[in-house]
Amino acid sequence: MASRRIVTRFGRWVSQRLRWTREGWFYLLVALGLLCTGLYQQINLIFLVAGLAFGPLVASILISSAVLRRLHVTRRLLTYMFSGEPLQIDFTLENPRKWTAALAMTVEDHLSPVDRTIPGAVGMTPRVFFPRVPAREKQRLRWQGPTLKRGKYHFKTMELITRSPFGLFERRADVGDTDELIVYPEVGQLTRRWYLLQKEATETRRGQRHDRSTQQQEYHGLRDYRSGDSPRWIHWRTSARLGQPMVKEFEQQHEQDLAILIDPWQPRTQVSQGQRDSTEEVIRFAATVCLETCKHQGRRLILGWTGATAGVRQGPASVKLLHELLEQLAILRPATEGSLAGLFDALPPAVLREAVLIIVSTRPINLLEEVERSARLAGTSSRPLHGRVVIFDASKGDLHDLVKFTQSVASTMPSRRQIDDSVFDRVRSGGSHEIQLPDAGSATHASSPSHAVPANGKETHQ
Amino acid sequence: MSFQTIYRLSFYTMLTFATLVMSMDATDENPLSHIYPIVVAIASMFAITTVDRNSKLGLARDTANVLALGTMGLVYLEYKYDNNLLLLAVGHWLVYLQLIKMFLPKSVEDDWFLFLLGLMQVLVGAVMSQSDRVGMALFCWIILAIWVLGLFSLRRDAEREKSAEGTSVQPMFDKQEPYPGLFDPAFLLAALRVAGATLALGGIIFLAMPRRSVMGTSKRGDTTAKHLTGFDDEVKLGQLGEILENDSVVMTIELSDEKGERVVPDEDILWRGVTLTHYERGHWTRPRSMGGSFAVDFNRKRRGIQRKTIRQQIKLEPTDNRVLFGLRPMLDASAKNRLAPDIMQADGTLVRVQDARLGGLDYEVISSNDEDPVQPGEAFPNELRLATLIGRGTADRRVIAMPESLRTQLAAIAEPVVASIPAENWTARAKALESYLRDSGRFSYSLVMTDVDPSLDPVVDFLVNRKSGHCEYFASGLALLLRSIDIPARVVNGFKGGDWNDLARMLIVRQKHAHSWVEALSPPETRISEQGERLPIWITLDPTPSSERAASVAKVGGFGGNFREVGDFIRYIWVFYIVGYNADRQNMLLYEPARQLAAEAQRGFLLIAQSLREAKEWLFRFPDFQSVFSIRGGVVSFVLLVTLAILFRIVRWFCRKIYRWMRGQQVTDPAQAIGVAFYRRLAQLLKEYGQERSSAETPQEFAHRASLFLSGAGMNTAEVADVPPLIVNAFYKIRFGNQEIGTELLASVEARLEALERSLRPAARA
Repeated sequence: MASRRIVTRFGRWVSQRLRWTREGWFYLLVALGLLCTGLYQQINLIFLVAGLAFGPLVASILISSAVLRRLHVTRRLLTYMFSGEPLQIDFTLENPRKWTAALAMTVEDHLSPVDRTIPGAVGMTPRVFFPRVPAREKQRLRWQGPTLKRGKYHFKTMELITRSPFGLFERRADVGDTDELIVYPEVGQLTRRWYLLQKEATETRRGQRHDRSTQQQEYHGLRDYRSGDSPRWIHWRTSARLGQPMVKEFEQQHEQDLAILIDPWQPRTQVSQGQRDSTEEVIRFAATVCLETCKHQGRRLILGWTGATAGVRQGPASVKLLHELLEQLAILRPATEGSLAGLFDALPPAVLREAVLIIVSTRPINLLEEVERSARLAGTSSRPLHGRVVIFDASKGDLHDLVKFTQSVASTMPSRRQIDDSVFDRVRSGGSHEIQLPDAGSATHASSPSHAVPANGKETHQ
Repeated sequence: MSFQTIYRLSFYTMLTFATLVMSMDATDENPLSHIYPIVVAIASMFAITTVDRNSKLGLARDTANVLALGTMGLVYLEYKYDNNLLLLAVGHWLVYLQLIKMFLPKSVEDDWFLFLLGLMQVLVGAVMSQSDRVGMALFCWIILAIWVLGLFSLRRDAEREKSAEGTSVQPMFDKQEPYPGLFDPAFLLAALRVAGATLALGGIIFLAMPRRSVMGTSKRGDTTAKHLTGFDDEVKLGQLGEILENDSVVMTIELSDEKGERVVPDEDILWRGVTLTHYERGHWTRPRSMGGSFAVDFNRKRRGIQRKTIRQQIKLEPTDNRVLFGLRPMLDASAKNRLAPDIMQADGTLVRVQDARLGGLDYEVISSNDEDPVQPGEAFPNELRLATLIGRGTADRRVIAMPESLRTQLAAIAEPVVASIPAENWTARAKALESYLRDSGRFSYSLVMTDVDPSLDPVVDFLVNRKSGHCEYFASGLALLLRSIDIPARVVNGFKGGDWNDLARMLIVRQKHAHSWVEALSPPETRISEQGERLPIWITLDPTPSSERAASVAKVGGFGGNFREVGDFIRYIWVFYIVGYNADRQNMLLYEPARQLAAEAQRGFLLIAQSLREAKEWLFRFPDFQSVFSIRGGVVSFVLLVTLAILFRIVRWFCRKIYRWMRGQQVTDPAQAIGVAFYRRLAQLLKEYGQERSSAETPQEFAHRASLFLSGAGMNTAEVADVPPLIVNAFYKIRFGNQEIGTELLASVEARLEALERSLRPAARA
């Protein structure tokens, strides 16, 4: 046991990094000066002062390692956040030692974007200083930094830094675990114009179809027969078993499916700042629409995006779907190839047939051409889509009137706050994931009921 | 008390001690020097209560600059006053700058500057003096400097931690009191440990630094060399009494025999100093014209005489006297600075060479431990000198030091004492007079000096009227009494005994140990050299009553005498291993033991190697192939194979350790945890449906049974019948195989487990 402890300590000691501080160099210079003076003067007292001046240098190397021993640091942060919000990280330093307090400890964290192609996504080095953590106590400090751009960020292991005991060296030790943070795109507030446009598109669609198929009604449960219920709704097996008529209860979908199709196109070369901004605006708009839509259950939401391989995610509006869509939007890269036609081919037929299609692009879209180029829609006219498609060109500023992005909106939006408190109360601590979602069925992404539809249109479970 | 206050208080105390180091021994040269530490201490108090509490109360930068310029004028004035004290003037300038800086608002850089000013003062102090008093102050400064460096580091850390732009930390700590509750016992204990470790490491570095054999003395000599009364070429009778009540250290001595082993000296050992030959009206003089000098090198090796010797390594405190001390008869003397001491051919006095700087000196004397009173190299007194020594010159009346009237008076005292002893028996006569003064009870030892009859010669007054005095009177009385009866005699001033320290096994001679005794010449024909030359035999006579003198010496020292043993030991360390630490001592302390250890180790390894070779010879000596198939061959093979197996296991263990360390320790445990979690989740799921593993069933058997159950439970569960064996296999791999499973397999296992759960739940509902 002792040998293992020694090996472990030695390994830890080797893995720590030691570097001179500015004062350390200065101090070394003075000590060398003393040594030279002693040699020149041949006076042992000066030698003594020089020798003892070197003492703190050597002692710093040995003692600083002991100072870091048995200290634990944990990082606690949200698993995800929205761009536009300040980043908050809680650092906790625990000192389980019996007697000695931890003094002047600095914790430095390193945050770097996984995908550096996202405009504005840069690394960050949060840093907190713990002046004194008494023995057998822990202390928590909250670091708040500037907002991050959308994307996935990687936290390296934290560094615990000390300059004890004399400030001549700085010793750094890796503590804690790596972690990840997903920054969703910034969300704003949809304006009245958006709701008007959406209403217009929905009403047009309702004008065309009078009855809704039962496919659009969701089986909810069983209840007693009431006068006026359709006999087709009677559940005969249950009625026979119970000896009284029982009818199936359906939850009527009051709103049509909503498909948000985004085309984050950018030229392969010479991308202007305006084009980059347009792409980000498209993504922010899509995120805002997803968020607003998922506030109310019952509507089916489809997110599609163009690219070399078009992608689609869909499902009933729910918190889980919202997470998936926002995560997808967070890591979405601008597309230099691919077209809307490809995306049409990737969409499930029911979506093309029934849903309201919101097409948001960074370039002008000719719907007729896209329909003709689509393998699925080729040969048909664009009439099936007519009246259900709304096209926005971000490069022309079409989105400006639809969504407002203000700091106050991001921080005080009641719905957001509500989501933060109830649904998004998801924090990660010390590398272990503590997920607190209201419904147990949505505990993990793996058990998500949503479907990813690849370009060939075949649905697969994820 | 707040952190800032304690920090400042510590800082200023350290600066005060730095000034003290510089001023401690400079007071002899500049009496005002002792004021400087007091001024710094008072200024510190003012600074703490003013500028360090409110920076607005500090000096303006411009004012400080003007004052700094003004201090240069003060330095110039001090230098003009005494241009020998340039170094001290520079040191005082550092104090002025320090005082100005103390009253300025201070940043971290200012504190470094102040620290440097203190260090510079310490350096000036170290160059000027290496006394033990300076050492004490220096030690205090070092302890304080370590403490202040620690606090300074904490202060810098707290000041440095400013949030970057656009960031904030909550809760913020109080910049004024960043470390509340810092000074608890645990912190003080930790500080003590750190200080101890730092001092120990620093001490090791100090001892290991390359040294020259002449280390330990300043190039410029000691500016604080003290005068040793009673050891000049002219000594007024009674002068020695001035230092007999002084407890200051004169020299520290290590004694060893010819084998290099430490020896304990006799209590009455006599450290011979100056020889006084000429007496006149209460004054003893040592005429410089008396004979030449020669370097002490008596070539005892050349003469092939192996004698019992006593080696004295003497560290003489700074003194402006040229006289050196040693045990008689001296065979050899040397000094580290290659300026070997001279011995005066005429009177046997050991002195520094003419061009040697005065001050402290490390020198070594080798004396004969035989009962041989002949001092090699000392010439037999010629007629002129004999006349001086007996006070009855025939060749030159001018050197006769004793007036006839004095001779008459003294002979009247001496003759009755030696009346019964033949005149040619000088030794017996001398011993009789010695005994008369020492043992007759008519004379007593006293440090109180009063002349009863000032008209008389002081010696006559002592012998006739007062009959009490200190050693100098006894020695003078005996010398003159001997001369009055025509026996050549001389007075020697030196030291008798010393304070022996058992801890350090060395002798410390203090001023209170100063002593006078007499050397009387034995008749000329007593010893003739091989070359036919007469050798002078000087008999040592000590007429002072020993017990009374010892009692008087013991009284000196006061309360401090109770701690002398420890104090002297510390002083010994200081004198020999700090101030006097040189290449020889370094060799003795570090390199020689290391060399011996290495030699011992080498011998040990050689023995082991030899044994191994012999064992190998014995084990592997098989004359032919057939002999391998024997009991010995079997044993050898078995041992070899076992050794190889052990070696293999060790190497494998080591490689695994390295691999795990390089891969990262934390990887394995979570992986195992995942494996166990999978298996538990499977077990939990199956348990819900009545499939529970019995204690007699292995996980694999259980998986097989569960698989059969799932196959027969319906279409939904048949598809996931492969899941239990899959999970258990993964579990086995991680738990018992100590292997890792890849991310793909991990994902697959998780997905299959999900599928199993989905399949089972509808079944449960049904």
